[in-house]
Amino acid sequence: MSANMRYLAVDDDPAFHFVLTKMMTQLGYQPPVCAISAVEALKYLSDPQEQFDAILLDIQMPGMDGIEACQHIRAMPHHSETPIMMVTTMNGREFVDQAFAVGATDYLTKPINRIELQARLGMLDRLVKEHANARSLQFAMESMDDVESFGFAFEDAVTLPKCGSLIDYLALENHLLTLSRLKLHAHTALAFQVVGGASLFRRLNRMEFLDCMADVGSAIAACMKRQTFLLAYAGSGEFVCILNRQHPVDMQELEQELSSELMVYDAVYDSLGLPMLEVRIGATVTSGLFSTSAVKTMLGRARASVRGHSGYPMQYMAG
Amino acid sequence: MTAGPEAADPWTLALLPQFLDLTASRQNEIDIERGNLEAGEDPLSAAREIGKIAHKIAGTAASFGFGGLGRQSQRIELICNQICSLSDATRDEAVKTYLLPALDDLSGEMTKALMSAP
Repeated sequence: MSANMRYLAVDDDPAFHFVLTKMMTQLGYQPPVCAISAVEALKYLSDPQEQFDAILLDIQMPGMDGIEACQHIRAMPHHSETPIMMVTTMNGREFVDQAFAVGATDYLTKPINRIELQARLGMLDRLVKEHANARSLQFAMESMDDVESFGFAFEDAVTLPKCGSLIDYLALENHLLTLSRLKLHAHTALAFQVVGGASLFRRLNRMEFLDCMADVGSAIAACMKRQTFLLAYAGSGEFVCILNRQHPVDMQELEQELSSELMVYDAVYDSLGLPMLEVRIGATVTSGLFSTSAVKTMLGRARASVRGHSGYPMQYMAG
Repeated sequence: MTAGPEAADPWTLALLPQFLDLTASRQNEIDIERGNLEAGEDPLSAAREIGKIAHKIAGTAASFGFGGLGRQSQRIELICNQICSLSDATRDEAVKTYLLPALDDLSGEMTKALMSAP
């Protein structure tokens, strides 16, 4: 797969292009197409003759920076899901948060080394494969004559449709891993669970279930908008939100706000004979993170909390 | 010959001439901006430009075995960012106290790298 992958590398430093091209070809990849500025990259990406599987994007560049470029790329319908890895010397929390908030898939800090690059490109390869599978399933779904074959399990952390404020669960994990590598630990995780999610999954077709989860995601995002957050659908009718620990959440207020947001959908769900949306909120979970397993543990603890499996005393119900 | 004072991947040898060419031209650019700093000509703009150049060096120097150059460039970038956020009244003093001595160290690291050329 990797030999066929076509990467676009965007960096204003020619020396970085030398290094990256050499490393990637040694790892068995095609040499990346190199753009020296965000504007040049956007030209490549707008050209229907040019196909790219993934993008490596520097942040600090003259003119348009990588954060703004990432926003532009995500606004292109044919690149809304193309994996974008930021490759940068910028290691401040604000850059990491901004990058993932505008749609970055991963974040690699310079100077790069071959082993780390290999691991991260491998992750992008897998993601490209998953997206290709998802696209063929989406095509089947949209044809509507084969909805039943649009298969994903209840537990799958699928990408939700028309839900701009959410990021992929994999990107959320990568965000936490990046913060860990850079030793930036001031964050908490908070999980949300749709009550009766499994029952909804059995009762609805897959497309309806995704729309239902997108409604919940939009409601949660609307409640969190006063602070910096990243939110992802985690599968199993659950969402995980990453927040800055320095801005504690007023849980009672959040519960009330979420309840109000979900009420907007009551009439629609009632008319369809569906139960009203109800969402359980777990306790905030913090962690000192230094490894992949610690990131998964933190997210797991947040989700266990909302399921009531962790002994966390605080749980809230909205809906 | 080694790629640099620290261990680097053997493949960097092939790219070393290009990297050193860039390093030499960046040293010239930094020298010009340093001249502006010493003359007191728009120190904000000069610090911003030096920070950008240092940022680029920091991105790849370690890949060529010049870890010291990479670290010193990162330090310069940080100092430049801090200087750019200062008021005009305190900037000149910070340039003299922190940036110019750090640029001396950077110049030493750049010279060391350039002297490793085959």
